[in-house]
Amino acid sequence: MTEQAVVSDTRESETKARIAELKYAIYLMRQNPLVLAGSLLVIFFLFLALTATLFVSPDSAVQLDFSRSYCWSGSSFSWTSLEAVCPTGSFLPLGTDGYGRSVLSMIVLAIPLDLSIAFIIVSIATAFGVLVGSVAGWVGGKFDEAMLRITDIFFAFPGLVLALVFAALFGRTIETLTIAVLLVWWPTYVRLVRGQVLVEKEKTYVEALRALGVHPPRIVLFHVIPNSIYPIIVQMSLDIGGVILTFSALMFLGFSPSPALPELGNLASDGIGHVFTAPWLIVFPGLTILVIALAFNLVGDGLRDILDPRLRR
Amino acid sequence: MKIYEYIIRRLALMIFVLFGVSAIVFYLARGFPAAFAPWAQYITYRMKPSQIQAVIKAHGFDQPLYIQYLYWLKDVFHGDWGYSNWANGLPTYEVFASRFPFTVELTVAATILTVAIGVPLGILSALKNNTAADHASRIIALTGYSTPAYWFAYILQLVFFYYFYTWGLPNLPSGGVISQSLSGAVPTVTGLPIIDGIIAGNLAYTADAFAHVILPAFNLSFISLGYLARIVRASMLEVLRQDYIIMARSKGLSERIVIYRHALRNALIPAMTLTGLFFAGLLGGAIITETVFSWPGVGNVSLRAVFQGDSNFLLLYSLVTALIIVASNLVVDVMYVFLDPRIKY
Amino acid sequence: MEVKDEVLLETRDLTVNFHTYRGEVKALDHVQLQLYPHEVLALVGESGCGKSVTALTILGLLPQNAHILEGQVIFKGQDLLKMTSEQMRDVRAEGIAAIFQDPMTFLNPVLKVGVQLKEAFLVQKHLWSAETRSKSATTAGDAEIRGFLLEKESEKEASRHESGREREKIAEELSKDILKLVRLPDPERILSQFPHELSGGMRQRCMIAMALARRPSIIVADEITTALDVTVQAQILTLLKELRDTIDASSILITHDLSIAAETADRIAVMYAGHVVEVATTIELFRNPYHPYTQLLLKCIPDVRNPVTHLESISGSVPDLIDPPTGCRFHPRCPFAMEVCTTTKPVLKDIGNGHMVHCHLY
Repeated sequence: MTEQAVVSDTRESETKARIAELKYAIYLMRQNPLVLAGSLLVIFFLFLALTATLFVSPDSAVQLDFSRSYCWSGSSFSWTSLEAVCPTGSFLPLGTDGYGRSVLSMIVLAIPLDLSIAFIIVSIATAFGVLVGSVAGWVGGKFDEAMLRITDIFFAFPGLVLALVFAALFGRTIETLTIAVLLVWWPTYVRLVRGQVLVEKEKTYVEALRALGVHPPRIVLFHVIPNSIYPIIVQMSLDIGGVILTFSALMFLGFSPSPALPELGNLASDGIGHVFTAPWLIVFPGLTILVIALAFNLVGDGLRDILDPRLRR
Repeated sequence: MKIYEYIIRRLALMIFVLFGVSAIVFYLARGFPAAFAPWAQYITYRMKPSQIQAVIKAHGFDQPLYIQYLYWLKDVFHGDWGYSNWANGLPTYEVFASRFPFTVELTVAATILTVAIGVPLGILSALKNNTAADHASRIIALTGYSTPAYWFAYILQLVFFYYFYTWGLPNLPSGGVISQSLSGAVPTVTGLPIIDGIIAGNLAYTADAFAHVILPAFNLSFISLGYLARIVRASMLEVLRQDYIIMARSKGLSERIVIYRHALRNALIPAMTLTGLFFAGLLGGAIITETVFSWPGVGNVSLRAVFQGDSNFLLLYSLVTALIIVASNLVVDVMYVFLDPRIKY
Repeated sequence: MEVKDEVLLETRDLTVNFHTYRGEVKALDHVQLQLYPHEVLALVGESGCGKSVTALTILGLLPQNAHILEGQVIFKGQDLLKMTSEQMRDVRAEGIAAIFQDPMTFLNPVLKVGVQLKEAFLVQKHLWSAETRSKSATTAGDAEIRGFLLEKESEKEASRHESGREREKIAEELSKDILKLVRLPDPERILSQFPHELSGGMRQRCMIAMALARRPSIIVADEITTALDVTVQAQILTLLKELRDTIDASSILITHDLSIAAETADRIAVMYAGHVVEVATTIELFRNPYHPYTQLLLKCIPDVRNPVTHLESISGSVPDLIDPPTGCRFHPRCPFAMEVCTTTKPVLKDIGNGHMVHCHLY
């Protein structure tokens, strides 16, 4: 008996099980058109993120034209009677911001930024969670206790406070803001992975691998984690929406590195003083955040439905 | 007896957590004097450098950080939370305590709204599983969960304050706790305008306070009621699959009794605990909502405290909110014991 | 003994499918059963042969993904399958009662036993109108219950409409009496306890009490001893035999254990893979099993008097009901399989004395 044998034994039945699960997943998807819609939206946004610069040149972020700031090309409808009208001839379907830039262009430029930051944050949080959580779950003992207490402390901070303090303290660069948001998110992943490892640790295949003398790090990395990947994936997809919301909220509250940065929360903050004279500044960037977060939440929620009853079978 | 052991253990944990929170905040807020100068709360612009030095020495701001921490602990045990210069130089405790009731009012209103809408929505989704109604409520739920708080707040203001006004409809106020004209019309008993209005028998005051709280409360609850509805739906579906529901139906009981007496009692347990946690989280001050609606609560003020680097206020604020969160976790866990007769410690 | 002409409950051509993501499970295939008054009919078979599905179909408690393709369930002259949910509820409240397998999961853990027992009484509409109560009082078996009901009935003759609280009190008294009937000590205390505070045997007796409370014409008992250990099993079976003489109801006893059927049943119906293969009186079945499956089953039971070194088993395994064998579903495992068995389904043949077989051999 080798590690390969144990693995291939379980792999064979696993593949059969996975095919059955795939059939079940497709069955559920058919019952649930929302998840499909969410997935399509996600694909759309990812595509947009990758190709944004093809549609809008990054230069337009720095081409400021104050002669047409806060204007709306008013032909279709008017928000309030107080807004300024854009000079004719320019393609400004969503109006302009305080710098005279097309809101539509800025939103398109902001999507890649927000999405990539969100992915980075979620990936780092997951990686960190896997690292620390699996050690805590596997080794147990004092380290585990310590991790539990530390995550308890972090969970006791309400919402944004920690991120706000950190951001206010260490300046306003994208890096520090990323760390600030990470501070809020990491404990969830540590706890999640720890829980999964604790459960898997008791299973017989782990016992078999240990009996073979396979090194624990190998067991954890190549066997335990892949087997407990599902809840982690659900958490990740749900969190992308949450991270974008948090990150843009920080920007909105005034922590952005530069006031002209094309980032969705930052674009919205431009409209704070102009709620009734230029409402589109808040409405459209915020709406974009909503749709992005909604798309990821639909997918994550659907994934959770698909993966959850499976455990009961 | 065992449950008392459990509670005591949790209380000890709570104290540990509070020390941990205070240490982290202390380190962040006082450990970087270049960014946040702790003595800024005790000086005026008129002071000469030598006077400023004297203030620094008097409060021990030149000492190593851990010594400062011990001094701070000593002060706190005597009830002295320091001063907040930027808030009219008032003692920090007063700055906090004068605003906390407003946050409480907002939190209670938001929680009531969340439960009143979220729970029936969840039950409905579960009973009409996989029909159009279920899908619709799922979208509502997830939309709420995906909405940026500040965006929705402004939308609410735009529609209910501005547009209603321009359309000639009675409009809701855009901010504040009570209209200027009625401010101070009623003696402060609890600090919550609605309650004080009822106590004083001043219906106009109460109605006005109520009108002011609707929009911010709805803003807060919109985001969470979806989540609550999903939880209720999931646990209802789980419960309806159980054998004892088959048994109840086999007795020929009406569907109403099966749902209300047998199913809900079990299904609502996780929902109740979630509501408790939601309430606690909100008490921490919904910073964004309070800011947008100019709600003079604790969250609103904390934002300014952050910008001012006021470590005194931040420490008090973090500790109170951490205490609320940890304590409510404990309450919720203990509640579980009473709600589910199977659980024993 | 039985009045052969008067069938209490009859299922005809009952065919039920389940929609699952793996395909259609053909759970029941033209199931025919008759239940006569005053008898215990045992429904015997391996797990997955459709015994529980038959019970759930009769009770109208099939899950959402079940589809009744054809068939009828005739009870008191009416087809239960054509009834509305309202009507079925009334049938379950006062006509057909069920006892299930695992009293831990079938009792609501957050409600007291008393609440769950009282509601079995409170749901019966006929109990609360003075006229029919005198009728039911005389048909009640146990002397205690009969006496109690007559007493209450004379009291209540004056006021026909009781308030909710009075009903609660009457239901409480009735509950205590019925707990005595199932031989549970200290009924007062049990009513105020939660299910997990009782032992397995006590919980099962409470479930039996909940069924008896409705004074049903038919009791469906689905594997009620399977979740209990052997000694408790014996106690419950003894209780059932005692009750059988006092309660005026027929039972359908579902079990996979032939010995339990032998001990308690008057007639036995053997099921395999979704249809009935043989029906006979207990003695007939054990003396003269006709169907190959029954014969093999009986051979599997080791006999204490003739020890053997080698345990018999039936070769092969239970078929997958998504893709069942053509013709007779037993033919892949049947030692007497013929050509015709693979193509056509056999018809139920009456051998005589109520003995029926579903096989091409006869």
